[in-house]
Amino acid sequence: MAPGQNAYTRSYSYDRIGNITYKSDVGSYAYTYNNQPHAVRTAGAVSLQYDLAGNMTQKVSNGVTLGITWNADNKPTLITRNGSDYIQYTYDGNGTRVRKVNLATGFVTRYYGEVYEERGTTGVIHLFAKTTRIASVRTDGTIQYYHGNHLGSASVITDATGTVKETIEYLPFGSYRDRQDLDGSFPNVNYTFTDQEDDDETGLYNYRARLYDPLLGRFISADSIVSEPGNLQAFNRYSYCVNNPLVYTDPSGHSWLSDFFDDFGGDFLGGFVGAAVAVLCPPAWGPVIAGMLGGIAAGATSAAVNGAGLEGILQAAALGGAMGAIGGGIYLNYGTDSIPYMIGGGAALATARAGLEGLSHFAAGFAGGVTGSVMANDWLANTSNNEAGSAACVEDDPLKWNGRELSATDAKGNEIGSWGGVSGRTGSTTSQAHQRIRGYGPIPEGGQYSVNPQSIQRWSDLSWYQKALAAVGRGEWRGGVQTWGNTRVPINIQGGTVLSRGDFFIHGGAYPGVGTGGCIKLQNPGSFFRYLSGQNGSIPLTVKY
Amino acid sequence: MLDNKALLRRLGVAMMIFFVFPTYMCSTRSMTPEEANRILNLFYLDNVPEPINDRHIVDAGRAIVPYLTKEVQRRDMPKRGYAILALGKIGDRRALPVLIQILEDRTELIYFREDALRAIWHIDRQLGEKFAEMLGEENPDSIDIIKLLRNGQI
Repeated sequence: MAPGQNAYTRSYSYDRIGNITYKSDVGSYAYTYNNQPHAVRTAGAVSLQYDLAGNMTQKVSNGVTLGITWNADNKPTLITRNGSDYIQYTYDGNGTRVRKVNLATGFVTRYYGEVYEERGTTGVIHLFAKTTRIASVRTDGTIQYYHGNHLGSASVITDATGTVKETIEYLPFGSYRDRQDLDGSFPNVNYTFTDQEDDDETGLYNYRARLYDPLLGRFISADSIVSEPGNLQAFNRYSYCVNNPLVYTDPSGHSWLSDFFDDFGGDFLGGFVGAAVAVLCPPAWGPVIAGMLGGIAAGATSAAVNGAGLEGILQAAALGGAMGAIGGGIYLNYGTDSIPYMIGGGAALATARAGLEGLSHFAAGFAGGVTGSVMANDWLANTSNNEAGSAACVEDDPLKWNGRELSATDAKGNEIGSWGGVSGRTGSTTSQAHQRIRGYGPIPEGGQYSVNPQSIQRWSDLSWYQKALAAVGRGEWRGGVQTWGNTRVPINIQGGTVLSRGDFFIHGGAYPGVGTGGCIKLQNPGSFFRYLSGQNGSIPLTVKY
Repeated sequence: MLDNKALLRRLGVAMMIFFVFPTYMCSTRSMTPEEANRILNLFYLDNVPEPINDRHIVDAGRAIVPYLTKEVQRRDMPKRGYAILALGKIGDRRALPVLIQILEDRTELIYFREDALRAIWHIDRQLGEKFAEMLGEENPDSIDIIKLLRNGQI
C-alpha cells in the first residue's frame, strides 16, 4: 500500500482506570455496574450483561442476542444465538479448548495441542519458528504460509508457490479493516490478529484463557490474574494490553505483563537454574568452574524453555558455559569490583536479545553464568565463613597469608575465598632479614596472629574533623582512603616471634602493588571485609612464605 | 619612602616574628613530665597501622626527646623499636648518645641495634656510615638494612 493510501481515522477515549469511554466505530461506553466498575454495560448500540463472576452472559447487537453460559472455571461452554444453541465449547482439565462445535451447521473443530487440529474432516498441522506461526499444512493438500506484521498478525497469506492468496489489514483493537480473499478455492486462515484464532461464528478471538471482542476492544470475562498490583491499569481486568494494542500483544489472554514473562521467563529461569548450579558446586572448584557449569545450565535451560531443539540447547549450553567461565575468571581476578561491570555486560546482552534472537541464549548463559559465579562466591563466602567461624573455635587456620595471597579455608581445609595483595614496601622481599625491618619488610612469619571482625575500622565512621585531619596528613587515618581504603582491620598478635614489630593491619587503598610496611594490603578488600564481617569471632591468621 | 633593602629587612623580621620563632619555640619548648607521659601513653595505646604508629611522639617533636631517650633505655618499653626510629625522624642530636649506646650494646637484640643505626643515620649521615660499617662487619645479616639506608629506601 502506498503511503497515505486508504488512510483512516479512529478516535478513542479512556478514563483513569483503563476503561474505554469512547470508540469512534462503536460509540460511547457506559459502566453502570456499581460493583463491577470495569464491566461495560452499553457501548454504542451494544448492550451487555454479566454474572457475579464478571463473565459476560449476554450481548445484544444489531438485533442479534448472544447468550453465553460459563462453567466453574469461567470458561464459556455454550453460546446461544437468539435463544437457539449455537456454539459449544469443550475443554480439557487444564482449561484448554479441545473442541468447538457449531451446533447450527454441525461443523466440528478438534484441537490437539498447538500444532495439530482437525477442522471438519481436514487435518491441519501448524509449523512454528519458536513462537511464530510459519505455515499451516492441511491434509487437503494446501499449505498456508503466514506473513505477519509487527504484532505477529497474519497480514499476507501465500501458498507453496508464493502466490498471495489472502491479505488482511486490521484496526488497532483487532477488527478487520480489510480482508481480501484473492482465491475463493484457497481456504482462509483461522489465526489472524496477533496470531490468535478467529472464532468467526461469534466475531471473538480465542485468547486461550479468555475470549476477546475486537469490536469492543475488551475481553468478555475478567482476567484471573492481576499481574502488576502497583499499576492502577492492571486492576482493569477487561482491558486489552493496557489499551495499547499497537505496541503490546497478549498471547495468553491473561495480561501483557504475564506474556512478557512468557517470552522472557525462560531466560529468567535459566539465570536462576544457572545460579543454583553454580552455588551448589563445591567451593574447591573455584569460581571459574562454578561459573562455567552455571552458564551451561543457564544456557541449556533457557534454550529448552524457549523451545529450542537439541542443537540449539547444546549451542546455548556451550555459549553459556564459556561466558560463565569468563565471568568466573573476571570475578576471580577482580573480585566484587567487577560485579557492576558484569551486570552491565549481562544487561547489554540481554537488551540485544530483543533485536537479535540469536543472542537470546547467549545472553541468558552469560547472565546466568556470571550471576552463578558471583552468587557462588559470595554465598560460599558467607556460608562457609560461618563454618570458618566455627573452625576458629577449634583452632583451625581459616586465614593464610603466603606473601601474595590471603586465603580463607573451611574446617576441612577447602579454600573458600582468596584475595591477592602485598605486604612490605616496594623492593622488600620475604627474607628473614627484611621481615625484621620495621616499617619496610613484610609481616613476619613467626607470629601467631588473629583478626577480629569486631575491630574493623571504617572511614565512614570518622567524624568530619578526623577526615579533615587525614586530608592534611594528620590523625589516625593520615593518608586517607588512598592509603588505607575505606575499611581496615588490625592484626592481633597472640604470640610467637614478631621481631618486636606490630601494628599490622589488613587494608585496601590505591597505589596497587605498593605496600605499607608489615600491613597486608589487598587488591579487592571489599570482598574480604564482607567475608570477615560475617564471622562470629577472632579468626587465626597464619603467615607462611 | 623605604628602599628595597629596608623593605626586605622588615619582611625578614616579620617572618621571624610570625613564623620561624614560634615554630622554633614550639619545637624546643620544654614539656612537663605529665605531658610527656600522656603522649607516651597515647603512643603505646595507639591502634593505627605500622607506618604511622609513631605519630604521637613524632608530632610532639624535640620537646619529647629528653623523655623518649630515657624511655628507650628501658628494654621492656612497649613499641621500643618504633620509639628508637622516631628519635631519628625527630632528628634531635640529643638522642645520639643513647642511640649509640643501644647500637654498641651487643646484648641488645639485633633488630633494636639496627633501629638505632637507622635513627643515627637520619640524624647524622656521616656518623651513621661509621656505625654501619661497624655493624656490618659484626653482623653480616645487617648488610641488607645498610644497603637500604645507603639507597635511601628506609
